[in-house]
Amino acid sequence: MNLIPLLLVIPLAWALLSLLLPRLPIGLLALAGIVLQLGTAAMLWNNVQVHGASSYAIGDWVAPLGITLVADGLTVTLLAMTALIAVVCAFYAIFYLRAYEKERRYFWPLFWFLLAALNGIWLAGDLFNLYVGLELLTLSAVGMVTLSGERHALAAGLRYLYAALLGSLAYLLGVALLYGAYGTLDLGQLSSLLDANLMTQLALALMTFGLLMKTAVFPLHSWLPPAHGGALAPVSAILSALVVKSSFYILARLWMDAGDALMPVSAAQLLGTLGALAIIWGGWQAFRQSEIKMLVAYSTVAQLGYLMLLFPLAIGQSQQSAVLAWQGTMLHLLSHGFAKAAMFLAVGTLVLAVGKKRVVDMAGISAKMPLALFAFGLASISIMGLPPSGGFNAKWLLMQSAIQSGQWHWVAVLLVGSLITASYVFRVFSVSFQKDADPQIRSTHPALDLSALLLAAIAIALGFAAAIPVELLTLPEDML
Amino acid sequence: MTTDFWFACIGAVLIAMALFTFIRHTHLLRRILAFNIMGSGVFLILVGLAQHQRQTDPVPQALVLTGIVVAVAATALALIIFRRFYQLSGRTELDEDQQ
Amino acid sequence: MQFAFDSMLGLGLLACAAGVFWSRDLFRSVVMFIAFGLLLALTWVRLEAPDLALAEAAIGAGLTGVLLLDAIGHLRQHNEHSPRNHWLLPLLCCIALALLLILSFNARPEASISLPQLVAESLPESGVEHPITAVLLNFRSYDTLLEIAVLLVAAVVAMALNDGLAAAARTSTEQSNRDPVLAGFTSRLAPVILLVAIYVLWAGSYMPGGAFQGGAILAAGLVLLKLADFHIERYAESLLRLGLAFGFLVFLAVATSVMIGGRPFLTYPEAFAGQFILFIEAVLTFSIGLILFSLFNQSPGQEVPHDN
Repeated sequence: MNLIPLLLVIPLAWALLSLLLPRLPIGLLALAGIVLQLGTAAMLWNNVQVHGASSYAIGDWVAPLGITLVADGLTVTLLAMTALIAVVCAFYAIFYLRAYEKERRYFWPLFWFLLAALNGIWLAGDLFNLYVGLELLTLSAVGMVTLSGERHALAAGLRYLYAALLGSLAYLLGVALLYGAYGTLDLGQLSSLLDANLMTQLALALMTFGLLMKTAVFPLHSWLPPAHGGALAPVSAILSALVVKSSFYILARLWMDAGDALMPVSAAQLLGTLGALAIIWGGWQAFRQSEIKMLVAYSTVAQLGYLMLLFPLAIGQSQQSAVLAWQGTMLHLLSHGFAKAAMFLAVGTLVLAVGKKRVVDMAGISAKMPLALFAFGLASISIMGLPPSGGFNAKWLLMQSAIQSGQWHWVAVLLVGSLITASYVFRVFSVSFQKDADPQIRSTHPALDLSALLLAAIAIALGFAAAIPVELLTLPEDML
Repeated sequence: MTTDFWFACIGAVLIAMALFTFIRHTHLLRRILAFNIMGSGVFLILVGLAQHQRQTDPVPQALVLTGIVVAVAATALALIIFRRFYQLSGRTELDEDQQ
Repeated sequence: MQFAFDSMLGLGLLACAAGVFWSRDLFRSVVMFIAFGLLLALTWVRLEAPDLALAEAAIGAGLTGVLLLDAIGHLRQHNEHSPRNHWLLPLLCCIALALLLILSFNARPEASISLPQLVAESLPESGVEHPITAVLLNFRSYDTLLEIAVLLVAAVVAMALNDGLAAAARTSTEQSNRDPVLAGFTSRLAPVILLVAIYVLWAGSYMPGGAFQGGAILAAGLVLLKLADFHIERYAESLLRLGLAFGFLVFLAVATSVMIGGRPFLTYPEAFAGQFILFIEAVLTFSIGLILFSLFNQSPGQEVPHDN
């Protein structure tokens, strides 16, 4: 039996299960399902490592008539990351949601639909199927943001929904143009057909705009902080670590598949500039926030900026520099996923324990909640890009790529970005280590600290074992 | 000019009109209306462009059928969240969109 | 003659859209939106897409219109604040977008792949005679599976936001204010609507029609029953979840069970493909009808919003 469809069937089946049987111990059931999914993803990862990339025609109808799923080195790495982050977040959620009786019932079906959408997007090889996947992702993500039913959550959900729907329509318009021009929706076929003309370029520009909107790239980011900062902690972690990455993944695939031939170097430089502005603006805003979860959410805006550096470093540059940029970007995507999920989980625990949201309320917390704070610290090392961590390796690769292609201004952006990151991270630490404060805290389950710690440890471990995912990203089937 | 081409052009104009409304108005219901019309414009382009000077094409028609259902799901979700938001706040706009 | 008709239809679409966007009264906007949907249904007929005409009339104009009208009915005032002041730059951008799109239509490259031909060639193996049903439930059935999931997610969120709230609201409005004319009319109409829904579903295998159109008609019938104050949601309550998920459950179960026999995901056994598709469509119709109805039914109701 092929493993690829199982990665879709498992989350969909568990979504139904948790929807139809809410009286079962749904959290434990979910944990079993997600472990099963992790196992499947690991086996698929191993398969691809041994035998190379594979594709799977759903319903036995080959593209362009049917829909083909593709599992290459990048896909399986992302599938594994998704399963790994999801397993820890699910474990965390079981304990965290004890305080949220009403939300718990509907959290799990949405969680599973979200995972199904993510797996579907990583595997998709068809433009329209990606649209449906993106809509499934958006609707379940918005649903998770509004779970609490409070006014601010509803407002954040609406803002998120409207931005995402606008993005979807822009993307779909691009798909309509491409289908009109080439008569196929299959990405693999399109990449060999695409040719420079007004229609194709307009289509790619529209799709790029839509995906930038969904990835919350500066200046289209304003929906992200309230949504990610206002949601329940495990929801924030999944949204920041995985959901925004999926639209970036489609964007990167599109640009790398279309190749340098179609994309003008000036457009790539423009995307890079947006990334640089995101790094600076997001970092500055993170520094200014009074609520600690909003600080972490703005940090996501800044970190998403680094992903945009892929385009100026890879488009129109030498092969060697492009490969380095590709590996660096994807490693950044991975390590930011783990580190940011860890950060949100740790901060969620702190807020739960203190019962207040502001940074200044965390005064003196270091003595009472050392483990959660330690997890936050480990994650910050990777976010700041200090060695040894996945974040450091990613930025190192990006920097090498910038130096090789002689684009020194991006080196400067990388360095300034790390400095700004350090400044907002140390703001949290300087408050939490205040000696004279004595905060009142509620006791929290140790499992909460443990989950955050585990994810942070993975982000650090990527500093030692970066070669494992990076090797897979340069398989011969890779699109570069 | 073929029928297909003509309606694809109408779709383009509809998209532009809807986008303008979406940028200009902050009333949440007005924006939902704009989305739906923008979607219809995209659907017209999807079918019209694919069939222009070619044969009738069932694939974009099936895609649009899917698109219509997805659009009604998104509209219903937006309306439900909006109405709950209105119940709690009495507002028809998001706070930050105020002049 | 035809060109004149097309021109009128196109300009009518634009005029309706302008009415939706620029009338100050929201109620009027929604009425214009429904008119827009009906004109669009006519447009789909002109584009040789009768399936879309059916779906647009039932879902696009019909159900979306009802949802919007219901939402407007609960607003205290229909007039909105004046729109934003800066308009020149957005206007120029939007005009540029429309022009670019139309220009690009003219510069369309020749397609090297002809999908309609492929569909026609593979149609005999699909088990149905109507190409659109073949695409939706066989060639691209994976899209349809995810699409049902999208609908289901909307229903789940509706339940989540409505939980606890609806029960209280329902008991308070229990006293019946049934309109005898509407009730009598509806009770005679309901079986006819059910019959039409089943016919549209069954017709889908060889002519325009199918699960989505049938489901939308079913939902329309349920909405009518609810408006006539028949309190059907009370009966549905216990079975609602199962009913909502049933179509998806069967679809997923069929899609997965073939994998045990070593076939790829979402295939049908060749000899029975037609029957399998009809069966899946039948359960989907039932579920889609219920989901669409519950999206209407679960909308937060009459509570008076409190001022800040």
